[in-house]
Amino acid sequence: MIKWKFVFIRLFLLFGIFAAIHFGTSPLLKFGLVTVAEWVTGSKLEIGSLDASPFQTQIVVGKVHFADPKDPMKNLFDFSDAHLNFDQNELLHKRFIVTDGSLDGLQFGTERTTSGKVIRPKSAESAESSLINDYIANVGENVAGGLTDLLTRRFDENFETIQCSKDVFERWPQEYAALMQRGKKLELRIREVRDLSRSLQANPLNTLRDLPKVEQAVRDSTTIKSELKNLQQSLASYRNQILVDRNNILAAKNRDLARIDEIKNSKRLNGRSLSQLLVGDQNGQRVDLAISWIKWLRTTFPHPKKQLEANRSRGQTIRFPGIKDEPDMLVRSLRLNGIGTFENRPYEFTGQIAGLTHQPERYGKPAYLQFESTGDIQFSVKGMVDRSHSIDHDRIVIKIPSLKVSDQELKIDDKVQLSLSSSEVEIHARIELVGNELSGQVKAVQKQVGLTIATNIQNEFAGELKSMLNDDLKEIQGFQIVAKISGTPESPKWELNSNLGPQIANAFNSTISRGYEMKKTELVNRLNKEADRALMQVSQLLQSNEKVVSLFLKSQTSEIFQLENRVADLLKVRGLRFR
Amino acid sequence: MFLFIYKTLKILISAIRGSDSPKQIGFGIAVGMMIGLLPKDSAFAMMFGLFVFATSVNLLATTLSAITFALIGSLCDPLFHQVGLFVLTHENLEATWVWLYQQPFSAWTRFNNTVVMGSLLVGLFLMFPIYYYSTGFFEANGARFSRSLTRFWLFRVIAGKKKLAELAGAES
Repeated sequence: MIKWKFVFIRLFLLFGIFAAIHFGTSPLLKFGLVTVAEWVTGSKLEIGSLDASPFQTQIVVGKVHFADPKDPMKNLFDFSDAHLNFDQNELLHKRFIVTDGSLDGLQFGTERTTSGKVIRPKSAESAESSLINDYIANVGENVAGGLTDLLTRRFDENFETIQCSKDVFERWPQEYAALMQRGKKLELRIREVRDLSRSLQANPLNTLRDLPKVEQAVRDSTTIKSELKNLQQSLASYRNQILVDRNNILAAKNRDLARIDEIKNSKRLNGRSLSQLLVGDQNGQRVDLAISWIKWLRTTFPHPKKQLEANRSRGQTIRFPGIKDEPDMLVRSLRLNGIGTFENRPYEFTGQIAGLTHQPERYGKPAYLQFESTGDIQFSVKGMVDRSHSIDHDRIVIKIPSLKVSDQELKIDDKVQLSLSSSEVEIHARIELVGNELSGQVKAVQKQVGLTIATNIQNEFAGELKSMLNDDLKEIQGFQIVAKISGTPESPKWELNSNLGPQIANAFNSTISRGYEMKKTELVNRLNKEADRALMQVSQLLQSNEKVVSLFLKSQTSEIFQLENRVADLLKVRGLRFR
Repeated sequence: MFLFIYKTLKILISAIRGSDSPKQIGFGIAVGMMIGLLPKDSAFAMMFGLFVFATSVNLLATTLSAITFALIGSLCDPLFHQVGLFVLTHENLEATWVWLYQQPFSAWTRFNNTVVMGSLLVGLFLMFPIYYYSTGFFEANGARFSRSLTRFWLFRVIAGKKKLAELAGAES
């Protein structure tokens, strides 16, 4: 006979135990996850709902928010629903294998209304991207120097020809005036002799009375003749001197021409430096982003040997030969979808994680992550996390086939900027982290660009030069930037190579060279004009002044001779004669 | 409401008290020893626990035995490890272990752990002697032992008035 009371009581107790396990697992697991996550990271983990039981092969989690340890007012990630389906057969072998799972509504970096900080964790110092920036800070002035020099240089104030001509024009009129002044003084003395001769001619009786004056006049006329002769010699020497000065002007002109010929742009643009100056900072941000992704992989999936593999304190677990150890927990496939932001623009993405386990050495294969966006911003991210060996190996490949870039100002220095019109850029980054060694490259190809120069230098030449430069810059249809990465995640290094700098440098150098040639031609023309004018003026000066002075001296000389003869004739008529 | 709770508790207490024949007490002590010696993260411990609930062994004896042998068992880990290591690494048994390892649910037992295997074998080896001698002990001294227990408040609560009257009658 069945003792129903006994059976009922046992069944009741068993039912109670199973019910406690079934209904207690969810809150217990939720409490455990929240406690462990908050203890490890110091950030709040909020789980809206969790449905799990040892008697079912599915875990359903709803509305999860995990605060960012570095920024408590933001979530590191949050998602609306997660479904994890476990392999029933593997569960009987005490292995938790997620054969198929999904994570919906995944978002990164969303704002929180309350602080997510539990305790203050020590934040790791972020890698600085100032390796290039420090260098390029001083490059701008040198790079733009050629253009600004050309635009601000004064070419015409030091012409020797002009200075020499000026000296000639200032000096010779004075010299001729002085000569003329001396001639005028002689003219006065000649006039005295003339007056005396007229007096003697009008009244011969005065001859004896004015005999001493006559005697003096005769002596003066001799002196005057001598001085007139000196003046004529001076005039002749002036002529020679002016010819010498004319030659000096010509020599100065030749020296000026040589100096103009020597004018050149000593500051030729260096394409590499220019690349670093123009796109180093922007590309540095891209490199930083790519490195932050690989660092995220490394920190998010640490080597589990020290972190997660629990050590059994009691006894030793024997591994039997011939049996391949499978990991105790493995995510074979987990589909993801959610919303992210890039440069403040939202996008939707789908993704998949495969081969994720806390015992990668047992699994023997790396884990793979893949994200693809849908919508306006197209990109794909493929990650590989290999913890199956003693040396950790991470790889990330980011492809952005077409990213719209808005108008940009590429600042060369305070006076010169380049305007880059909106265009599309294709980005391809591949970075590997083996052990602590970084390698890889970030390549960006920008097509259909429009480059124009903008400068606040205002002078008559600036407009012309800008026009020339813009014509040359139009030839640049596109460019690519390649940053080769090395170093360590804590101290990354990268070498920037771009054809943008060389192209712009060519345009600048070509324009500046043509600008200098134009300026030199203009200077030569102006110098020739100035020199020709000066030489012509010298000739005119020589001709006009010499003619005036020469005629004056001739007339005075002729007159003094006539007066001397007349005085001699008068004295002869009166029977007088000087001895 | 209070009556329902009281009746339910009475049923639970009678279930815990169980039958108190010397054999049932002896078997409870033997099974409690197994539960006590085995590491609790092994499914073996759970299976023995379910076995206890499914049979009419004396739960009180089982519980006290499990607690006592759990304390003793942690001190005997080196012995269990040596026994388990010997058995699990024995060449002739290797094929058996491999086959067993590949069977469903076997992993939950953690039988490939040296302490689990060692404590299981030692416990099984000691099970019959423990059952035999404890049964004999309670057959010879059970009534006197039960009466001496009535001095304890907890025992009086668990045993109930009827049992206490039985014990008093036997004494007179």
